[in-house]
Amino acid sequence: MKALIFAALMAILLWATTAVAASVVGSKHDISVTGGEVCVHCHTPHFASATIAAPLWNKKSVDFNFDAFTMYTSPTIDTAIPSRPSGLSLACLGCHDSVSAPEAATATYTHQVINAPGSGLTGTYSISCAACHDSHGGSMYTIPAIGPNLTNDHPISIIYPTAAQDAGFFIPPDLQKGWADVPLFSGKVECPTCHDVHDPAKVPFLRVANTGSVLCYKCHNK
Amino acid sequence: MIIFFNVPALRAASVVGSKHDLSSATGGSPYKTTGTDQVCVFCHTPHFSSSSAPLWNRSASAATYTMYSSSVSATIDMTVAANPQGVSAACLSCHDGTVAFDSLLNKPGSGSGAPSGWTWNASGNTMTATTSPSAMLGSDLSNDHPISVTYDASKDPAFVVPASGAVNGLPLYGTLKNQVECASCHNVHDNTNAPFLRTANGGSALCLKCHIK
Repeated sequence: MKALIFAALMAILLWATTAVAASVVGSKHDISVTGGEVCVHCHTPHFASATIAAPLWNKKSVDFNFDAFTMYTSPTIDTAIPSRPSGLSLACLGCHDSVSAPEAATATYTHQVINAPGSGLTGTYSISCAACHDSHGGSMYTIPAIGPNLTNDHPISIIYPTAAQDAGFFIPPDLQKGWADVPLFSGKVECPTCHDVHDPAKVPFLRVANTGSVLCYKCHNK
Repeated sequence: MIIFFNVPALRAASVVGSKHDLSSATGGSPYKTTGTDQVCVFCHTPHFSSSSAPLWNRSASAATYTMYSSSVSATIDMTVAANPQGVSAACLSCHDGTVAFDSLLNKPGSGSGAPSGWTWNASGNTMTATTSPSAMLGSDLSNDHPISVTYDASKDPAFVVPASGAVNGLPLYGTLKNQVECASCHNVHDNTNAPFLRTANGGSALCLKCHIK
């Protein structure tokens, strides 16, 4: 009987562990200090950004240079190239662009966070510096710095090409939302089209494993 | 032999002395009156109440609200009401900054009617964004966690399935017990987990009760 109970408990523990194996908690996007809040480094329930169109975004955009980006261009692309990144991609680039100037390191250093944990915009903010920086290299990024030169990256903030524009693309079931596992955002390809920012299971945060380039072939009919 | 004593609830979890106590004697709020030492009257009354919340004693806000919607973020899959509902409307009757704290339906003492002549401390008689710390949300709710949302885990697999009108102990409201409201995350009477959270948010545990991330 005891063995049965033990086995049941182990099964529950294994299930529970498996169920959160794809969680942002403990992933490279968890930049919390031990015991600290995880979500606050990107999200806040109140006073969120009105500038960056990511859900309840908790980063200021005061030092964000929206025009610093050089967008992807190519002689073969058939959909219009936007002048600057939009929507959810701006959220990603806020950390991954290597140009968004952090606030000066002072006693109230908030690293661009709008609302720290606690009540009424007065809370104390703690972050793991080593999660993004080399402790011996000063301000050097150790995270992938995608921007501000986006000419060498897959185009983002582009409207998914229509069949008339380019027959070399699969047609999604919903022109605004794309596929269930590879979404478009208001009809556009954005960073989160390929990446699920919360799910580290398929490195690096891919929505679909790219074995055999399966992720690429979701859209590209090649 | 075991003797059980009826130990009253710890005062630390009481609204008395908290920031939701606006009374002259024990008020812990930056907004405090000298007009009464009663604590409950700022929200409740035994007679002549309205229905936003149990025995509700406040005038409704006349503000026009901008709700969180897909125009704010294209990723939301659940339905948000056009206006704050039920208990959220009650919270906003103070927290949108438009209604005076002593705009009550029934004053302390005998007989109905609004109180008059109450004096308030320097923080004033309505919530303002300039008072520190600021808990004023205003009427633009597009930068706040959505409320008056119909919680439907079938629309987005990244949400915990509710049971008996609650999600991991966080209550849902409305006649169908499926609405996320302010009170789903906040316990208005208990500031044990500031600011009036139902559970502590270490490791973002409160967020993760509903959000599977």
